[in-house]
Parts: sequence; structure tokens; C-alpha cells
Amino acid sequence: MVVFILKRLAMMAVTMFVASFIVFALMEFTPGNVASKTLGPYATKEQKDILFEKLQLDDPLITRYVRWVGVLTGVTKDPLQDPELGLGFEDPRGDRYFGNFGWSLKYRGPVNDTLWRRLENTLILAGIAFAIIVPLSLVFGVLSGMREGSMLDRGLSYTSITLTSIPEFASAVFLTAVFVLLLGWLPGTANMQNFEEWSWASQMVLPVAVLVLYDFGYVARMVRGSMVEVMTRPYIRTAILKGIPYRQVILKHALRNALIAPFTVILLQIPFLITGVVVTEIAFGYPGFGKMLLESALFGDITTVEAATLIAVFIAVSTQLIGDVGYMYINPRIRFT
Amino acid sequence: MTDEARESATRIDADAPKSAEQPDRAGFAKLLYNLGLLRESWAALIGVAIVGFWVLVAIFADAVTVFGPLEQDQFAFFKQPFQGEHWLGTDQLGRDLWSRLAYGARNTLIVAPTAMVCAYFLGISMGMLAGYYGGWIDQLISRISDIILSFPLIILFIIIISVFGASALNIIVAVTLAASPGIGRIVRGLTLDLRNLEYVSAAQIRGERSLYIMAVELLPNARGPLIVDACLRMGYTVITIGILGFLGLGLPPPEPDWGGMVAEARVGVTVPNLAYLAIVPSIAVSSLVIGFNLLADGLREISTRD
Repeated sequence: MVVFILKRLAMMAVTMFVASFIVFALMEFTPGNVASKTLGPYATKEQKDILFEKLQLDDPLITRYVRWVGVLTGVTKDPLQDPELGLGFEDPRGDRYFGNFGWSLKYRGPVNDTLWRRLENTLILAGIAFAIIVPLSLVFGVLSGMREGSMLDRGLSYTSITLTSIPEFASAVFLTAVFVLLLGWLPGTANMQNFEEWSWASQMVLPVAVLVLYDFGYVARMVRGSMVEVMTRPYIRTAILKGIPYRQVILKHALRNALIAPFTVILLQIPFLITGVVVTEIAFGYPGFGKMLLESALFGDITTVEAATLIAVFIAVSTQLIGDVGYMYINPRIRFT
Repeated sequence: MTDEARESATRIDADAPKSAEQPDRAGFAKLLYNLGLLRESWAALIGVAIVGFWVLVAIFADAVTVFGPLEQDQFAFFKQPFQGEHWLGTDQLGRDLWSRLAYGARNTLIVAPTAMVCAYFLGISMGMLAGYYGGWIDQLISRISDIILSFPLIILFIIIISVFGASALNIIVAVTLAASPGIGRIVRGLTLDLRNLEYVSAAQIRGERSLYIMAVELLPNARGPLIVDACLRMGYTVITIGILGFLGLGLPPPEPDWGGMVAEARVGVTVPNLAYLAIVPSIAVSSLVIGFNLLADGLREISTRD
């Protein structure tokens, strides 16, 4: 078990390394681009040339990548923070520290100033949504999968089909039309400002509702589908015929086997949830990680996109590691060597 | 009775007993038989009706619209729906909303199925190979999948589309790349579950080729969860195309794009006279996805019944 986890940790590092290299390569493939993106649209040719030389941008991609990793891990100084360049990139943390993501053009400050605040906002939003989605969908999924074709099963089935079919941007429109335009109960945006007019909770209601509505149906259907599959297996029939109480058959025999597929799905939900979060944040103007990512990508803010990708990939990879370990733990039929 | 009607009536009559008598039908006949089974599920019927409606609208977009999708009516900006010659009203540039919906349906229904077929072909091949062979093949495929999967899809889309530009082909490439590792992972999980079962060992001992075992022994037994997955994924692809449009990464304007239409009108939802501009395309996307999901759910119900 320990060996397996250590192995997976090593692979996690490899994954992060490859992912960061791909993003770096795509974003910084054309060196001239990097200089003009860093200096912004009003820079002169001479300024670009100076920066080009200073950053040694004509070196091969690999060399530049290694240098970037060096700055990130705090091994080398960030060349852009050199006062000689006169860019005014000042970071109170100094120019050499672990986790130096560089300077964000879009947000006019060190990436670290924006990144963590935005990430925190997103974790709050996603955390509230997740805390509602998982228990709700497990309970409903198991209950309706236990008795296929019952009233509850059919009701849940069609409710979740409808909910899963409405994309976040559409349900944001519908909910806004009802609760903002018709009823006037809630604010139409969640920009986390003007708390005097609309409280924090009232601003959070619609974004959380959009995420829960969309993801609840998907997870519940997966749990249900898996439960139905397990309930038709011969060992369940045998258990029932042996006279084991129904409750015990469900809890001991069915549930453990039924949760294998949804377990993977729920953990896979996390990168998936990030997509939903981006859409929801854009729809409501919520100042989160996803909004930062899209804004900086459309703006051409290379450093922020690279930093955001790295963090997002880290979150996704660690949840997948948890998923794999748990998968092995739940299903003893699978043997990893 | 016209000749045509009589002919179609006899054709149905001739088909019905034939399909009942021959249990192993192949190809087209099997498809017809399965479509006939749809009558047994009202969910599937509604799904067929909705999807069929949009497919017809997409195919005959020229015939069912009066105005072109890009045509601007100088005398009708922000016309409300159900009044006058513009059925669903007009937008801020005086373009007919119904026409933009119809041509938007055409765009969506070309891109989504193409992307799905590519993604499933790639995903099933990857998952089966990884799950069945294990070892270094599994390692290689799983590592590649992990790397793609650990990119939150949205980043993948933003990068692919910002590097290669926004076009239908790039959306298909992006969706295929993004969806196939997920399919592969589910197929791999199912294969791992099934591969230690007796009938697989029996086939191996019989000396069956690996390809046969994967296609005949494993794939049919993995189909239950796979159909549930495919059902959600077809709808999800339509949603993804909508999301790309909504984030400004879809088909470049002024091309009619459902997600793009919602994005343009999103701010107006809180204004009474502008809300319809966002609500109408939102209903269009949702209805098409509901249609696909109901259809697939009905199919699953029927396929698990026998």
C-alpha cells in the first residue's frame, strides 16, 4: 500500500511536470510574443529588444522552461524583477522565494497577490456546492437504485434528467429571470461588493444553486445506475434468499459494490466542477479563480495562466490520487502490483 | 389509399414478423427493430420528438425561416416575441431570433455528433487496451489520460482555441481530446472489474484472440454503465459547445451560435424588455439536451429490459 502511494506520488510529480511543460510550450512558443506580452501594447521596439536580450529569449524552449522552473522554485532570481529593467515589478516577498509565479499584467501586481485570494473565493463557492451535492445525490441515488422502477426512482430519474440537461449558463439565465426580474428577491450578480445592499449569503444563493442543480442529477444518476446493476447480481439474490434482513443486504452486500463506479465519478467531478465553476463565475461576475483564468487568458497574461494551470492541475491530480487509493480499498478484486 | 401509402404499409407489415422471427438481425434491420422498440417508452418518444424537431429544423433551416440569420431589419430592433412578422422577435441588430436559432441548431448538430463519434472511438479503444492488457500499455495510456484529465477541461479549451483559433474543426478536436480520456477511464475501470471474472478466463482458456475477448466478451457486458455514460455525454457535448459559445470561445461572430447568443444577452436578463433575448436561446439548448437525454434514457430502459 505504501509503495503504491509512493509510486503514485512520483507519477503525480511527472504529470505536473509534463502538464506545466505543455502549457509553457503553448504559451511561450514564440519568444517575441513573450517580450511584447510582458511589456504590454504600448512598448517600443527598443524596449522589447532589451527585454528580449535580458531574458535570453532566443534560447531553446527547454532552457527557458528550466529557467522558469528555477524562478518558480526559488532557486534563481526572477529576472523581470531586476530594478535595472525599470519595469516596476516589485514583490514584497523578494525576488527569490518558493512559489514565485511572477508578475501579472492583467491584475498589475505579483500573481500571488491575486491567485490565492481568487482561489479562496472559488473554494468557498465550490465547497458549499459540493457539501450539498454529495450527500444529496448519494441518498437519492441509493434509495432509487434499490427499487428500480418505483415511484421515487422514476421521479428522481426524470427530475435529474431535466436538471442535468440545463447548462449552467442557461439555468443562470432562468434563475435570474425568476428570482431577480420577477420576484426581486436576490441580486443578479455575485461580485462580492456592496454588501450593504445585498448580504453575502444572498449573493451566494444563485451561484451555489446553479452548481447544485447541474451536478446533483449527474452524480445521483451514476449512483443509481450502479446500484441497479448490483441489485441484479446473483449474490444479492442469494443473500436475500438466505434470509438476511433486507437492510443488511443493502448495506453490506450491495452498497460497497455499487459505490465503486460513482466513487471514481465523484472524484472525476472535481476537474469537471472547475469547468462549471468558471461558467457560473462568469455568469454572475463572481471574483473567483475561474473568472481570473478566463480573463487573464483572453487578456494574454501568460504568467497568470501558467500559475492558474499549475494550481488547477495540482488540485485535480491530488484528487485523482485519492480516488485511485480509495478505489483499490473499496474493491478488493482489483490487485495493483 | 395512394400507392406510396400502401407500399409503406406493406413494408411495415413485412418487417414486423421478420424481426420477431430472426433473433440475430444485423446492421440496418436491427436498427429498424430497435427504433420500433422506442414505442415502449414514452420518455424515448418525447426524446425522439424533441431531437427530431431540432434535426428537421437544422436540415431545413432555409425553408422554415423567412429572414436570414445575419440579415438586419433596420425597422425592427429589440422586437418582442410573438408580435408581427418576427416570430421570436429580433435582437439588438434587428436580426431575426428564430432564424438565428434555426441556423444555430444546424451548427450545433453538425459539431456535436462528429465530436462524439471521434471521442467514443478513441475512448473505448484506449480504455479496453489499458484495462485488458495492463502492464506498460496500461501505464502509458493511463498516464496520457491522467495528464489530459487533470487539465480542467476549460483550460484545455482555452489553450487549444486560443492557440489554433476558433473554428468548428478546432471545437471538434478540443471536445474529442477532452472527452476521450474520460470515456477511456470508465471503460478501463469496467474492464478491470470484468477481466477477473470466470467467463473471460474461459474464453482465454478456449484460446480466443484478445481482440475477440475485448469485443465480444467484455464490451457487451460493460454496456450498461456505458449507455448511461453515453446518454449523458451526448447531451454534455451539446452543453460544452454552448459553454464555449458562452465564454466567447465558440464559433466566431456573427455566425449564429446558441451559447454566444446567451452571452450577448446575459446582462439584459434583469431588464424586463430584454430578458427574452437570453431566455429563448437558453430554452433551445436545454430542450435539445433534454431530448438527447430522454432518448438515451429510454434506449437504456429498453436495452436492459430484455
